Amino acid sequence: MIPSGPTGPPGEHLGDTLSAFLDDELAPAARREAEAHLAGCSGCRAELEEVAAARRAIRIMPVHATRRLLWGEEPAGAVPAPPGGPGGGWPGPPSRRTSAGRRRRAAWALTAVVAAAIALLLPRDPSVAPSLPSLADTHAARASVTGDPLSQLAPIAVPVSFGP
Amino acid sequence: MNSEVPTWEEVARTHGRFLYNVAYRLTGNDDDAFDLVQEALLRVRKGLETYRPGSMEGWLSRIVTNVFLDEVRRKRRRPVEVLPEDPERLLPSTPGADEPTDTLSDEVQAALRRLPEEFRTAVVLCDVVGLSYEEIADAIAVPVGTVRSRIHRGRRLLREALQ
Repeated sequence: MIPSGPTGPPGEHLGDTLSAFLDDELAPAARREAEAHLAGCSGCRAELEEVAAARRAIRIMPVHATRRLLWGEEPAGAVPAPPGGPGGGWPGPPSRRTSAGRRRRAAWALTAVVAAAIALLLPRDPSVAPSLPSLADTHAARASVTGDPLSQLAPIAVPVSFGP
Repeated sequence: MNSEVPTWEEVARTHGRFLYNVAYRLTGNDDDAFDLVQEALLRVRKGLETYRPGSMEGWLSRIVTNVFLDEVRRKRRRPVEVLPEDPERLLPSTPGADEPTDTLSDEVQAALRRLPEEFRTAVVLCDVVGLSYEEIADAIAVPVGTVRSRIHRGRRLLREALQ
């Protein structure tokens, strides 16, 4: 509460006292003085209307909501973590991405790296790859000598080309 | 800890949306508001021991406002960074996904964002948070007369911007 009356000498315009008047921040005596001034000053009445309109415009603004999760909030349907247990308390530095999303992305990234490494390590040069036709020939020849019943089918595989 | 003093988790969960709203009105954009709330909550965690049961929202408003003003001062010292005066920051051509959809609110928020930080802070603490002039003076460490002046000038500028 502001004990002083309208700023400046009597007769001067109210100025910032008008906002204090609107906000009920004037002591009773100062308020009466302001009301008396307003009754006879169209300039101050007009200014009062202006600042009152601005004040109203801000006050009727709805609470600004965000769809992001704030700290300490659980996603809808999630099982709340036990107090002090894993997932409770500080949920990590605020980020536009959730920690679960980060974990999923990390898993995919790791999978991609492993797949790329395997692809690089696989032999590409046919000269170092085992020659399957020759292996089949060798096996078929050996089977014909030893009479391996399972290898009787081996000659069928021989015509198949495994080469590049 | 005093049993009447909430835990940090309780403060974050119960008052997070309130803090975010104040932060959004001060900064005018979603990303900065999130950063502000993050820093404010860190300070809350450090300062919770000193909290005396009373107006939790008033106490939180002081913290988030001080974080905001610290950030404003830091940016002034390092003008290389994008300042709020940057027109692209002041007048976003299209609202983001988290921007309010209400046109009037958009206009008021844009006008609020154009106010000098000192005026904006006083107006937000008065008209968004609902603090008294004395509480605002205490929060931002200026005389009550200065608060009155800043609120009035802020409202006048806002009105001009909205016309």
